[in-house]
Amino acid sequence: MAAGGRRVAVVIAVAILGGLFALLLGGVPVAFALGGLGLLLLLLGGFSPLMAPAGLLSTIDNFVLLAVPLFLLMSNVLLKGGVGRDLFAAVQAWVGHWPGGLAVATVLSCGIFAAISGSSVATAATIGTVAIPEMSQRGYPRSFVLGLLAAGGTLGILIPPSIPMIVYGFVTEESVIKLFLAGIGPGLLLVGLFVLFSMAYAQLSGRCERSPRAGWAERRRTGLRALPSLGLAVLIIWGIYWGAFTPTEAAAIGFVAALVITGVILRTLTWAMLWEAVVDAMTTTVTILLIVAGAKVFGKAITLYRIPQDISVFITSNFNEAWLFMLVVAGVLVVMGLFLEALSMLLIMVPVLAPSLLPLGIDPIWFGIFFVIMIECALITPPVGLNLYVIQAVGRARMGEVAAGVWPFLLLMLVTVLLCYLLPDIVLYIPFRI
Amino acid sequence: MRLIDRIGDYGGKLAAGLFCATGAMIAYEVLARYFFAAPTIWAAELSQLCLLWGTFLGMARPLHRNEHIRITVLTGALGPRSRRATEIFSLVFIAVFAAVVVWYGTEVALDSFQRGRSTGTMLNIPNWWSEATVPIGFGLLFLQCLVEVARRWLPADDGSPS
Repeated sequence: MAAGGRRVAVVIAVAILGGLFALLLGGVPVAFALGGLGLLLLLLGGFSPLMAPAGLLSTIDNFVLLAVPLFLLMSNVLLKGGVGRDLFAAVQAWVGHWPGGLAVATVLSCGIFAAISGSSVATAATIGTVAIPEMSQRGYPRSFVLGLLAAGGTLGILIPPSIPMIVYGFVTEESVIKLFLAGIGPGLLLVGLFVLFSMAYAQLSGRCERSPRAGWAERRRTGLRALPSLGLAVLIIWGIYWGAFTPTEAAAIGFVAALVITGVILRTLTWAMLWEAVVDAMTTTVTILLIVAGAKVFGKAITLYRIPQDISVFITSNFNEAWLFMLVVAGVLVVMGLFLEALSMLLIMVPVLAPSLLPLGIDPIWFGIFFVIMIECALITPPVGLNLYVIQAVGRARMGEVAAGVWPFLLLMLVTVLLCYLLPDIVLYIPFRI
Repeated sequence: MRLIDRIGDYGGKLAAGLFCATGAMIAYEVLARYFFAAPTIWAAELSQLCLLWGTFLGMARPLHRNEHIRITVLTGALGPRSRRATEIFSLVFIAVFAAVVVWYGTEVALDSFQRGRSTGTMLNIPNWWSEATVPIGFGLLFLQCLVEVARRWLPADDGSPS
């Protein structure tokens, strides 16, 4: 390409990205900003605008993405059915008397709920409503409690099932099953780090009261109530692992099982709650899938302008080492995560970066997990972070209080990213070597 | 204006019902496969059709209730007058996008309808059954946009989400 042509290409790329960010920061809903700009580019470039409706249609007409509403239905039903309370009580009966016991119980409950939920918001809301008042009563410092819940909630998207992983698999055409399995190792690592940090924090601060040790009767009683939800978590991971059903089928089974658990076994779900859960799941599904569809139209348009191809050439000719590339990408994602909503970040960045992975020798499954952890960071970095809003609402707190408590957990997440880079088997052992 | 709100609301509720239906169909499919050794031919295809109708019919309700995901870090800091201006701008932007999509989406669906194209799968559903979702859904979205613009333009604000 001649120097002049390259300069024009750079100007066009910068103009498109600038236009996108202007629309997004101007408050245009993400889905329509992406779709509208994509359509405009198709028209300006003289390409067929029929690609816009065709792209929207082909995105939603997809069996893999069908897992999104079904996993949301499952976790919303469990959330409204009060499963969080039972789960937290059962875990607390075992670890409540440890130093920082309530915090440890919170992290473990988040981890378990993450295995029956694909969303960080549902996880933070479910455990948060129960754990925040309990910990506050026992003298845990407020910002620590709020930060712990905001961060613990993000486990929801790292431990399978996970909605961002479904979307990543859709965009890159990688196996969602492999992605789910790859999330287990880093998920457990992060749970471990959070538990260790909570115990150390409680020991050093000295303000966190321990709960009395629970007796065996208490453990049996709470354990029995939590058993169906635990069973569901095991069933979903086991079924996906052994290939008994696809992620979409697992989600449908999970939804029906969630109805049985909360409606028939525990009898906590009323018709009104069910309807609320279903409508909430609908709203989240529609808003998420529209962003995916809008991103498809935008992605198609910029591919016709050859922007991802040019960026890939630029990256491979300037970065010949994977670690440097990863460092730059991580830096860019941290900065983008301050302002962008998490899923939009994935949908804008992944199609652009994906062509560079193979030449640099980076495994796309590993990169998916890396991306999900970076999204977790984005969810809890102010000023824009979905989990911060959720915890702010659940804990009736100010944004500043939540943000102040979040940074140690943010560091632990970045440590996890580093460990996954140094020891890729943390990610790849379960999906590829067992 | 109330009528459009109500249509959008029903669209959303219908979408919620359709998503539940997909769950039932796919769960039944798995049971049929493992316990009756008789997988269905309709579950996957019909549930995908439900996802399409649900997603596109469900778009208008979140617009009315301001539930679409957007970035409010800048617009939230504006004064009420300039915030209203950015809201009207983004609604007009969506309306134009929706109108263009309706235009070309209709072309796609009409074409399939006139030529009698079908999926060529087991059920052999006509293509326009799924393609019609785009013009209908975005048509609803377009009307809802106009209503929301009018609501912000006129001083008397009625029917705002409770």
